[in-house]
Amino acid sequence: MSGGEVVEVAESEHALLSIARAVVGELPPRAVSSVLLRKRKAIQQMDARSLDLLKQTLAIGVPLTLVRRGGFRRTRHVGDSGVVTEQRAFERNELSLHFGEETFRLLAHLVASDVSQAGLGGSKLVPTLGDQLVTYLAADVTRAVAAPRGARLTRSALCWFGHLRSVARTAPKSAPPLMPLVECPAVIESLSPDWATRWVACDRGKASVITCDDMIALGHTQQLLLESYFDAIDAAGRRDLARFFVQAVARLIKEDEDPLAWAGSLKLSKEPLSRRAEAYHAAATSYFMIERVARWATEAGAVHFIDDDYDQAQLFLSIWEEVGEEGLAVCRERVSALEDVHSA
Amino acid sequence: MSRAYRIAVTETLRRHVVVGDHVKSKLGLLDVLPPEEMAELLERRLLEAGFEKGEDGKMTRETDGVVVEIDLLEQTVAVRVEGEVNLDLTLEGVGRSVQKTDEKLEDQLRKQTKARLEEAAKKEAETARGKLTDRLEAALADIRPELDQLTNKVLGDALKQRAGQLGEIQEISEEENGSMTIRVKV
Repeated sequence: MSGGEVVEVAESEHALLSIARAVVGELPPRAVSSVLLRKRKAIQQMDARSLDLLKQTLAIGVPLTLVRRGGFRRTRHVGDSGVVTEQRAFERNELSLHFGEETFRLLAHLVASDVSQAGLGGSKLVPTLGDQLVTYLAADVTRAVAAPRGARLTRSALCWFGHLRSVARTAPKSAPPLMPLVECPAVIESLSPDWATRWVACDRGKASVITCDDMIALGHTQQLLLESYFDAIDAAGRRDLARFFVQAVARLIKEDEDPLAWAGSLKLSKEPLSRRAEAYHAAATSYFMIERVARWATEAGAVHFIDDDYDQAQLFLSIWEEVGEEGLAVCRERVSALEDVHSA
Repeated sequence: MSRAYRIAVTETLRRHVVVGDHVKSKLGLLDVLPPEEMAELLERRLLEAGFEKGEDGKMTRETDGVVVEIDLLEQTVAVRVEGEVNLDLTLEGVGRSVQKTDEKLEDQLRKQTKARLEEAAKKEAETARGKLTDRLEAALADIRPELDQLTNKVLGDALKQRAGQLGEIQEISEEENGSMTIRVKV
């Protein structure tokens, strides 16, 4: 298709392409609110030209979105070859995204449904990383009309990082596989600043949680995600990808002085003490999950100059510096402050 | 004019339910001595306070149904309270039918009545549990300061023992506020 050519598409295809454009940031979310709220006959397939337009939109728009969200920054990370470099995410690691049928099905669902009732829906298809990215970005767009929800959200590891509170409402028992995400570190490095901001917002949002069940579900979901994520990045030799979490905790230490505020809205009067204690423990999740990162920092500190992974260890220590031993002590105090309220 | 017959079913629920509540936390003792030695000092003080050592090595004490259990090596304390409720509930479910006997309606009424019984049982168990929680909270108001005092004493004992290992203890003075000064000749 040459540049400047006007392509005529059907109304439903136009709706789908508009949503795709909003997903990649070419349109503001409010521009597609009416589309998202209206029910239509489901699209089963697209005209070849419309499909080409969709492919173009995603192929150019999704990487551009990653660049805008953080991929443009020069950061020090471990590259594909295991060497530490200061580069942009795409310069250091190859980005290879495939958008499968699941992406089309998601966009078709958003066109056909009233998203405020149907959410993001579900699917039996196994999403590729590209599909997960589209779901992650689409959930941000649908936030303009309703809190994101649906099975598509809960089975995407990427969406757990972006929409944790929504995922927590489903009280998941385990996290989805993290390795496919960790195997494409350019995505993680690009979204890292986004994740740090969302993590901080999620923890601060605990201040408005009313029931012990909701607080426990939220803390448990955070813990499931972090445990799986830490296992995956450790196995991949990429502990540096814990950066977003260290940055989030550093901000919380610096900016949020009263740990008890996070549990301030909990209605406790009819709850057993054991449940109250569980809820307060859940409120403190970030403050105790940082302990694993602290242990990695201790291990990094023991790596000698002549060891092969010295540069990686030094990189990790520089990341850890944002929290450091002082910050760790604050985290421990806050865990105690939250847990001692309902203890012996 | 057709008659409407009153169909009534009665369901009974008898159940023995155990309810309880508990809290658990760390004692927060400083590691002045190795864990086994700290455990020995803790055990001594707990025995003085009326605790008994169980076969599993944990120290327990029960007062008015409130059990305090301390793990010497883990340095954790658990406080729990349990109670039993004997539920004996009967409810009637009533409906109307044009037939004198209506099996379908009876089945429906039985299901609904059983569901109401389960709700009532849950509510009664919850009320009993609520009373136990209140008891546990009240007990904790006494247990917490007692444990604080006890751990302070254990810490004092540990400091004295450690000081004795470093050299010759010349003087020990203890203030009312719990602070301690130990003079050691090394």
